Amino acid sequence: MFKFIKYVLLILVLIYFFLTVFQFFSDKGYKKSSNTVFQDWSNILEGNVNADLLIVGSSRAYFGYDPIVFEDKLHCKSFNLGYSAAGYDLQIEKLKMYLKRNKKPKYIIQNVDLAFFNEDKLIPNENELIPFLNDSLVKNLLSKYNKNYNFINRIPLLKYNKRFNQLMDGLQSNFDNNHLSKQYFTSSGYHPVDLNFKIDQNNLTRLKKIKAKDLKFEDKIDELIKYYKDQFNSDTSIYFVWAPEHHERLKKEYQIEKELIFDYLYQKLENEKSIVFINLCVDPISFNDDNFFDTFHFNRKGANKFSHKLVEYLINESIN
Amino acid sequence: MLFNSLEFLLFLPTVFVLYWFVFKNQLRAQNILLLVASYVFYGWWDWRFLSLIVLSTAIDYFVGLQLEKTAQSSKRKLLLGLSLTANLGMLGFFKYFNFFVQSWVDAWASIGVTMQGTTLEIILPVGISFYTFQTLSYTIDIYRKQLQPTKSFIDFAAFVTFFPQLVAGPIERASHLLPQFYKKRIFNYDQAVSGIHLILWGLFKKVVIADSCAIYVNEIFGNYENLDSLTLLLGSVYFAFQIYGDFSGYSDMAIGIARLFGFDLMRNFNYPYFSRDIAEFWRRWHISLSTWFRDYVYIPLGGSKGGVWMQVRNTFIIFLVSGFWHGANWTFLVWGFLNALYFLPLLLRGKNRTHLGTIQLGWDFQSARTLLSILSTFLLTCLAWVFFRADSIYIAWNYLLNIFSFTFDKNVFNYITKSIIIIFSFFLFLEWKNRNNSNPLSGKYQLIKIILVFLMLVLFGNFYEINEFIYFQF
Repeated sequence: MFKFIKYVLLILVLIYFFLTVFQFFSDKGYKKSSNTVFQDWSNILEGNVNADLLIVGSSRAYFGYDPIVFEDKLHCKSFNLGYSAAGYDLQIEKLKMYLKRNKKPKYIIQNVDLAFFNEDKLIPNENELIPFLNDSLVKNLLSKYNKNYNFINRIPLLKYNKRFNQLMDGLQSNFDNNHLSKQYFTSSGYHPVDLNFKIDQNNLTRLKKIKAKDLKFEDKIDELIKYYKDQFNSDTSIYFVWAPEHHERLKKEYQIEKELIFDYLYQKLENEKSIVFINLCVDPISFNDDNFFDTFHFNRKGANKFSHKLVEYLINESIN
Repeated sequence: MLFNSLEFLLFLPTVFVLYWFVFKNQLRAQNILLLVASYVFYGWWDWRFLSLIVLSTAIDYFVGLQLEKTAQSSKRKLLLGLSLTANLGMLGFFKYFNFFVQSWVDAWASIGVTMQGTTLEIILPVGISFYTFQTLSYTIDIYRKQLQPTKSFIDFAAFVTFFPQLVAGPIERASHLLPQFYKKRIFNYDQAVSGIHLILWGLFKKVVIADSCAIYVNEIFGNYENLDSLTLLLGSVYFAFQIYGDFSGYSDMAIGIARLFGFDLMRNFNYPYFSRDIAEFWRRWHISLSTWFRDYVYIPLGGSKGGVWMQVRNTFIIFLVSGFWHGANWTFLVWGFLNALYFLPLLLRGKNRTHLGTIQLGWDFQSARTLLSILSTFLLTCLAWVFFRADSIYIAWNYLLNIFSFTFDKNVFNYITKSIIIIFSFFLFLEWKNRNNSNPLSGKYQLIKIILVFLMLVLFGNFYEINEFIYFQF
């Protein structure tokens, strides 16, 4: 019997060893894949970002704010913390994770848009976080949305279950990261997109059905303001920015609902000194298709133009 | 309780420790433990099902003892009749009642007569077809005076409910399994290690092969009207592997678990997809059921002793009954009928026992012919499986028509992923290399094979949505 128990234990130990080795090298590959979203997460979790200016928001932030522009003009380290497809909860969750391991920034740009008011029912782009599942912050975040994550990292390599290509990409990333999909490449958290404009009719149709009151925007704005006021003191300047919208979205049928949100933001921030609302929703950038890859997102060109515009605005703001 | 569930992961080591450490060398206590564990295992689905199994056990225990005491032929027949009526009655009621009522109503409807049929909300007790056949074999063997009845109710009940094979076989014969409950069991290292290997291999077949195929099978069969011939053919191939991985995986785990407790169960599958003709396929597929039908239906009907037409009749009866055993649906009958049709040419030409030896392949013409016969046999089984998988004959027929419409588009490649290629290559390689060995993970390079299987399990296994075994519904 003891020989049998020894045999079973030997198998278990060997298997544990091999699974751990595979996982270790795949995770390591992702962590060192430079200029990718994986390295961004790695830097956030290891406290290596410590930016002076932080951009927070949804995919509009992720695709639309180039930190290099801010860095050049404002001479402060900038980082884009945008979270594609994330609503309010996840945007703030990512900011909280950042603040747990990095120093507080001097400036925060909180991008606000209609996506901000979405409910987060699932974790978007889950695979970005898989290599970091052993980190308690990531595990806690993922297990809020999927209970399986409470036990997945107890068995090595199980987190790559049904993610064979991702495992292989991670292993390969130990040597180079040219094989990684374009969607993962970033520059200080910002993801530039080199695509020409293509109308996203489905999104526009969906947008028609959105009513501001259904978004419960008042509650979320109140919550957001409260969060920033509690979390930051006067050393941090906070800007809520509504970036230029594509001219299709400025048509009356879509704009009426947004006006309600703008009015509420103006009203709530009227007496706030540390939080400023910058509304650039209607802007000359809006009227040129060359600046967008769909009606919701800037392409690289648009992001560059907008980032310059915003930085000028901020400089003027600080002078005044 | 499913073998691939978290509960079972706790249940098995608990029973193992109690069995070998707490009740070591206490045969009666070990048998009681196995009986209790089996009732817990079975009752985990629905405790109400336990009443049926206890009833069936009690009837056959009583009939067995009475048969031994009775020499009078008419009384013996009456006792056998009692057992057959009770067991087949329960099976018939739970499994076939609604089917017969509905078929009766439909038959009248087809000639324009509207009938009112009352179907019942019946839940099919898990594994009823398996344990019914197992207990029947006990009574029939005693009736035939081929077996002595057991005096111990505990031993008999433990034999009927033995949890490793209770719900999906192998369907054991009393003459093979029951005596093992009488003998003192000593822990055997080699037996236990081979048991572990079989459990692992069975688990791989279930959660990697069967469950991976299931995803594509559901997609293809659910959308068969819009897919091209190659994709539909691929769908039937995936189903062939799904059902094989699912059922033979369960059997392997059952045999492996039994070995951990010092029991030897009969082999249920012998690499059926490497068969060179349909007759060989049926000697390699669900062996415990095929041999059951052979011994308790085919031979009593006259077997192959009569003329050609008697053999043909008996063959068709066996295949149709076998089809019907699988489920209360006409599709299973057609599946059985189709297999009988495949079998017929071999029977008529007296070639149904041609391929009894092992498969040898080299670089010669004969090997090419062998390979071709393996592939064609596999293809025939795949086409028959369409009836097994489809919800109705109408769907199966249209599915097959679409296969033979010879259309092609690139969609087929959506169903052939890198993962599928890797797991199939590994699986087929290991099965082929070990085709003369009942345990693919034993023998040379076993440690490497075990590590690779674990890697595949972790990377490709389906753990988040636990799928029941297909054969539970039978």
